[in-house]
Amino acid sequence: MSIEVRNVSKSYGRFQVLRDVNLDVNTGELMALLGPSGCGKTTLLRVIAGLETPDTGTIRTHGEDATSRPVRERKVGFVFQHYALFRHMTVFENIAFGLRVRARADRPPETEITKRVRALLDLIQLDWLAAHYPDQLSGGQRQRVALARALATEPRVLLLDEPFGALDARVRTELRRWLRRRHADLGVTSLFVTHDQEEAIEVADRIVVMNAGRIEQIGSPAEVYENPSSAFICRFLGHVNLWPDAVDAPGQVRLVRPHDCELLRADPGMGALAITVKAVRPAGPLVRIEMQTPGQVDFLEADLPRETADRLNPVVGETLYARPRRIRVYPS
Amino acid sequence: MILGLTMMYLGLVVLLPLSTAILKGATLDGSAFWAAVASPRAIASYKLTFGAAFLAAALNAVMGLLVAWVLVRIPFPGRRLVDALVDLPFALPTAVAGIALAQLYAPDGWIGRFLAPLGIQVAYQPAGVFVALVFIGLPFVVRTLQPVLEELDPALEESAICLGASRGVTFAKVIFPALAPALLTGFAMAFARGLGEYGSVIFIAGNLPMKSEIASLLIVTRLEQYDYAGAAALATVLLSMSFIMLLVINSLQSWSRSRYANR
Ligand SMILES: Nc1ncnc2c1ncn2[C@@H]1O[C@H](COP(=O)(O)OP(=O)(O)OP(=O)(O)O)[C@@H](O)[C@H]1O
Ligand SMILES: [Mg+2]
Repeated sequence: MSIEVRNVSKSYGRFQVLRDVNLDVNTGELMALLGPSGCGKTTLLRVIAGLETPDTGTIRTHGEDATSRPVRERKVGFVFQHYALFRHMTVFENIAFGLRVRARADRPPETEITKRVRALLDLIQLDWLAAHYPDQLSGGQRQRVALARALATEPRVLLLDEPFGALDARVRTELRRWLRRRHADLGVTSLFVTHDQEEAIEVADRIVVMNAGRIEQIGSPAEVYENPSSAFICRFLGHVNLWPDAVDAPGQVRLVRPHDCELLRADPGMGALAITVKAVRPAGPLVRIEMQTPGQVDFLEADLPRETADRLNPVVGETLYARPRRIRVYPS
Repeated sequence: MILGLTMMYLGLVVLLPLSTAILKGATLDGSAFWAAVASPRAIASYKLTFGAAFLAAALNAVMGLLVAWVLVRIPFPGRRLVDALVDLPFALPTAVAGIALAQLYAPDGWIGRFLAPLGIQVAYQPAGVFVALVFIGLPFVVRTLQPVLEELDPALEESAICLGASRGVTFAKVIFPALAPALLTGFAMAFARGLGEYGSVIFIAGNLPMKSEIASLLIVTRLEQYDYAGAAALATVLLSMSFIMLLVINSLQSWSRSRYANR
């Protein structure tokens, strides 16, 4: 086990940010920490790094108690959302920083430092920018330099706080795929914060979902997506429809994912809902149908495969029948 | 258009009065000019003025950095009050400051009485000039550094520490370079103010020719003797030396900015 968080709580004044958090990250794993804004993701990451002290609880990295260790001895790489590159140093100097500031006794010779920085520049595919300053780089390039800088000291644990948060959608996708592919070679245990569920599902080995300072669920992307343990997680991981029901079921929420929703021209009876088609929008391989049931204000959504949609050929304004293939029921 | 306007404004407000002084000085012929500006008394006054202003600005650069750091980074009760206190040298009539300092450092003053047994005399000595200029210059350094320190991203220090740097190394390699351009600006402003300071200095300096007489006082003395041309000649020299020094500091600063911040 690379990171063990045990019973960690943390308050700022009277506001409790972390409530009895327990989390294990396995060695070599790439784990995503997912949750809505303000739920305590950054705080948890900072507690693990030692930048924040927990009120109670312990942090162990690689089996050693790190709670009372100073930050600089923890061997934790931290990548900040806004890169935090040193603007007065070149890309090369930025990456070499962690090696050059070591005490003389365990500082590698300059030739070795150069070799290692070169290797990292190769890894991030920016060797041609070695002599540039951070201000001369694009956002995506800066983030890669920040990553290389954190990796230079060969940390045992890498923490990334919304590493792709400030980038545009395209660069973001590119960079996270790059991280996904490279992560296995790096052999570092990583925990990265995101509030983009797609990113978590695409990149991570496992996902941990937080809400209001608590951990709600931990599991593989498939587990978390297919079997969310609460209505909150189900809603948070992708679109869901709050499914109205003819029979009143107090104390329950019924959630249906758009792709679990079938549309039929003839009323199949039991469980189907009469709906009016409000919009038809092609979305990649799917066609998204927006629809409304009489007496409901909120729209429902159904995602149909293109073929199915073509065959059905729904027209805005017509009445169809929606039948959920799968309903998730949670206590409300 | 805006450039033209700026130039005209600067010309009217800054250049015109200065050039009148220079023209007045130019009414002297070469040898008379030289006699006015290179007399031993004048040279002693330049040395004192530039030396004291430089040393005071240097001390203020160090202490101002410390004060700004404490005001921005260390929360303590009464921080607001201390923050307001820093501006006092700006607001106080310089004569008041001079008189107060002279009383403090006089051999029987609150501070002077402890220095006197050690054989240190500040008031009515060249050291008095230095003390007055330190007092006057401090806010320039503090007020230029403060906003830069406040804007400094804490993540910079945190990254350095996560990468294994000690606090000392983090300061030297990460924080200081980020502050250097502002520090140099504060230094230049304190220095320039020290060169021109008159009011506070004359009350504490003792104003002995050849010893504790600053250049601007010498100019006033010449004026009182109705030697307008001599005064203008001295002013011209003071002006050109100040200008050259500020030019040097300015280019140093833009160099350090391009080196450290690479804007
Ligand atoms: N230094 C602090 N002092 C007081 N409150 C703080 C401090 N840092 C964070 N908080 C509060 O703690 C809560 C959790 O903050 P945190 O930064 O961990 O959230 P987050 O999950 O990272 O959110 P986001 O996704 O928006 O970055 C927030 O409500 C925030 O206001
Ligand atoms: Mg955050």
